[in-house]
This record gives sequence, C-alpha cells and structure tokens, in this order.
Amino acid sequence: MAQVQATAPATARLAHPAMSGLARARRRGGRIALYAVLLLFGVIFAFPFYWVLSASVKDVVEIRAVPPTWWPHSFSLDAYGRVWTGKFARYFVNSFVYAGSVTVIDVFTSTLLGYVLIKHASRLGNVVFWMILSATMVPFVTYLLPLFILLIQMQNLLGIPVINTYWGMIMPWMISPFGVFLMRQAMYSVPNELLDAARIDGASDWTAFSRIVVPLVKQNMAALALLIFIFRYDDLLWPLVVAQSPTMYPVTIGLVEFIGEFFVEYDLYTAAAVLTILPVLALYLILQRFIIEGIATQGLKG
Amino acid sequence: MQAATWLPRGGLARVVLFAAIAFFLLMIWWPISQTFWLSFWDQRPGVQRWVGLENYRTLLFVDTVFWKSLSVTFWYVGLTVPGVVVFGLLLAVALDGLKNLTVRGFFTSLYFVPYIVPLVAVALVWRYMYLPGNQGLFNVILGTFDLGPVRWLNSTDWALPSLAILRIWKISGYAMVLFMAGLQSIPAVYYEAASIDGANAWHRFWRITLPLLMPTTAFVVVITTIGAMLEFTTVYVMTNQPGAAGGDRGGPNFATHVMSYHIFKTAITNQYEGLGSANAAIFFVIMVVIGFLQYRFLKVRHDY
Repeated sequence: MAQVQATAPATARLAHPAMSGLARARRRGGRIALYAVLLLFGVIFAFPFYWVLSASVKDVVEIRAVPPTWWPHSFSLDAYGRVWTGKFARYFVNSFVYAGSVTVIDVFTSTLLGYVLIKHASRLGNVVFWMILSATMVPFVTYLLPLFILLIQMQNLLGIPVINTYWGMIMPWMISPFGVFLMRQAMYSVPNELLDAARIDGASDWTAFSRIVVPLVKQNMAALALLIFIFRYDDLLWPLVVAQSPTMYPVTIGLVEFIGEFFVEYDLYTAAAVLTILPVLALYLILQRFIIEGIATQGLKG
Repeated sequence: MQAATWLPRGGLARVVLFAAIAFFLLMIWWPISQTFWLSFWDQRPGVQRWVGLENYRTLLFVDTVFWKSLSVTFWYVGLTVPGVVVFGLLLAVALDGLKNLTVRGFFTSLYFVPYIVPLVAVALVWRYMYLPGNQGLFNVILGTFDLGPVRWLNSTDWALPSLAILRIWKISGYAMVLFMAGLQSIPAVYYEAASIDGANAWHRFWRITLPLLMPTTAFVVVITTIGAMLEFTTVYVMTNQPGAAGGDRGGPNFATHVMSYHIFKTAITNQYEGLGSANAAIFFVIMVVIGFLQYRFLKVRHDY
C-alpha cells in the first residue's frame, strides 16, 4: 500500500547542521519560490470552480456583460430554480439510481470474486483472472453497437423491456475489472488462519465470506464504492445509447441536451453545472483520503 | 500463482466463477466478436449484405474522415500526455519538498479536485470560459497582456489544443498522485549519499529522482495515452455546431473529430453499422497494442 502522505524526504533534515548564513538565505528563497508555485497552481486548479459558481449567481443582465465581471455584483438564485423545476430533478434521480445501483452491485461482485480468486485459488480462477485482465484492454466504444444489439435481442427474446430502462443501463457494469483488481489485492490482507478456523467450526463458505472477509476489507470496499459511483455518475457514452427518452436521461445527457443547438443561456448552464458537480464534490471533501489512496494504490483508471 | 486443481473447492466459489465467465463472455467477448463479424457486412437502414473486406477498403483508401480522425486522435495524445507528465511530476516533486504534512495534504487534495469532478459538467464550464470575443474568461486574461482574442473552440487551429488544455488541467492531479507514490518508494539513502558527495538539488533531481521514477513515468505515459485515445466526452459537449443537423460535432472542419466520436457517429448516429464496426475493429487492434504495453507496466508495478 502506498502511503501518499508519509515521510518527508531525508534531504531536508540532512541540510540543517552548520549552515552558513548564505545557505540559509538561499533555502528561505527556495521555500518562498516553492510556495509561490504551489499557490499559483492552486489558483489555476480552483479558478474554474470559482468562475462557474460566481457566474451561476449573477442575474440575467450581468451574465451577459462583456467583458464579464470578476465577481458577482448582483445576486440571484433564479437560474437554480429554473434548472431544478425543469427536468433536472428527474435527471438527478436517474443518475443516482444508475450510479448507485452499479456501485452496490459492482462492490458486491468484486469482493466476492476477489475472495474466490485468492482464497479458493484454482486453475479456472486463473482463467477468469486472465479474462478480466484482457478485458481491461478493450475500449467500450469498440463493442458499444453489438452490445446494444444484444440488449435488443434479449428484449425481444425474453419479452421484458431492456432498452431505455435502468436495468439495461446497469447491466454491462455489474462486474468491473477495476473492482476485481482492487478487491483481489485487498484479499491478501485477510489471514488464512481465520478462514481455516471458521471452516473447522463448521461455518459455510458464505458465512466465512460475509462474517469474516467483508468486515476485514470494509475500507477497501468503501474506497471502491466511491470510485465506481463517481465514474458512473460521469458516464455519458452508454446512457446516450440506452437511455432514449428524457425520463430516463441521467444528468450527463441532461446537461448536453440542455445546451441544445446554441450555447447562449449561460446562467442556466452554469447553475446546472454547479448542481451536477456538487454531489461529487461533497463526497470528495468528506472522504478524500480514501479516494486518493485508492487511486494511488491501484491507478488503473485512465 | 500455481493452483493444483482445475475447479475450486466449494459450491459458492464454482458458482461465482462460472457466473463471472458467463458475464464476461456475454457482455464483452461476444459483442467484440460481433464487431468483427459486422465489419464484413454492409449494414445500414434498409440494407444488409455481405461485402467481405469492402468496409476496410473504404476506410483505408476512400474515407478521408477516417484518416483525419486517426491523426486528430494521435495529435490529441501528443498534446496532452507531455503536459500531464510534466505538470504531474512538477507538482509531485514540489509537494514532496513540503515538510508540513497538513499543508501537503491540503495541496494534494486541492490539485486532485479536477480529476474527481464530472467531466461533462467541467467541459460545460470550460466551454463557457472559452467563449470567443471578450465574453470568455480566457480572452479577458489574454487581453490584460494585450494578447488575443483567440477564437478557441471556433478556430480550426485552436479547437484541439483547447480540449487538450482542459484535459491537462483535469488529469495532472491524477498523474501527481501516482508520481507521489513513486517518489515515496525511492530510498532516502540515495539522496543522503548524493548530498554528502556534494550534489545539489538540481543534480539530485536529474541523476536520482528522474531515473528511479522511470517505471512510474512509463506507467503514467501509457495510462494517460489510453485515456486520451478514448476521449469522447469533451468533444461531445464542447464542439456541437449550430445549424448542423442533429448537432454535428467534432468540428470546426473535423479539427476535433476524434476516433471515439467518429465510431459513435458512424455506427450509432448515422446507423452505418457495418462501416462503423470495421472502424471499431481497427481501433480495437490499435488499443490492444497499447494495452499490451499497459499490461507490461502493470506487471512491473504490481508483480502479478
């Protein structure tokens, strides 16, 4: 496990004893330059968020000002009201159902598969792992159309609606290679002795999994859940194909549809963008350490 | 990993493995095989006939948009990947120089925010900042230096770099986190030895940090290359042109017509399913080659 915020480099400590005045002054200069660079990048990374937030509360007149004002002189939450009472409330429900269901299912299947691959090692398991490994190389866009055709065929064959349903949106993501990697890795931290002891006591495999394994890898499951939710919430390509009526659109399509043919209603766009960003930003602020460590240890999502 | 038996012990494990096999066959491998199968057909609304390699011939020798899309995609990789690596490394090294862990944690979290926020919303925000004339933030900033105004998304020269700048902004924090993990793995002894030998910070960076970070750098390059090759969202959100039927994207004049969008447009929007599949098949082969590189670096990193 990589520790992102662990030890400071030894060089800093080493330089201290018997430093000349000149060296100390140069060090202070370096320190100031360092902070200047860090702050500059801080501004660059944060400014778009300030800009969209400030634009979203400007009134209809001010938002049209050329050049734009640096901070809002007027204050109006009108745009938010109009966005929310439009179709956006429904889009949010769709997004949360889509991303939320995928998260729950995927975390479950990933943990179970990780458990089976490591704690019940078999040649078939190795084959499955190879299938998963090679699946990471396959870009979604290259099999998007046949997948869509497959769902239509399933729909015709089974007589239940699949296209334009939550079920159809969720289906391709029920198992993710990324999740299996992450949870498979986590399984190494579960001691075999515990599982053996449970088995001797007559616990079934399922009991061992749910009572012993799951509590031990809970933290990894939480990190995975966050990442999966964030990536699914941001999904545009697949919903564009499966979600065909506005009642099924997630916010991503909602935003695109919202722009329509002309990019003119800035107050509405910015308010809608802020609303879309907000849930993810809130999750991030509360649980950032999980997310960054999850990425640093696994780094599989491009 | 050497396992003795073919099947795992216990019913649960067997059910899970077979279910996983069924899922991957049905949801990935079967559709992929269908992509290749469809690529031999002329299949579009009202037409369905076997044409053999005709679609591939059309793509490679007739369809100029295919080559344009391929070159735009590689240009996009060329524009984004160096930027992401340089900024990611710069930020990681700068943060590594911070002794105060609270301050370091704060900046790490801050730089990571762009990576985590939804790209669709961010693309919308950047489109707003890229507005032409003096309406957009970027032109206002350029104006204070007596530069511009640039027509950003509306100019064939600047449209692709505009998308690339957005991507560099979005992904650098991610590269930074990977580089920080890489920096932590360099043993401090090397730096101590070098300091005793009188090497200054500059030398230490070029002679120790950079060479020892090569595995991380390679990994970052491959993973950001793959991400850039698959770019779709920003093109879809930022480049629709007024007046074009169905909100045609990838413009102006195909300047941002990346491969993923080309496949999507051909196969899904225009329903040229055969031609689109041939296109997807070629792209698949390209991506698998890059994917093999990724696998090799993964092996280095995780020792599978």
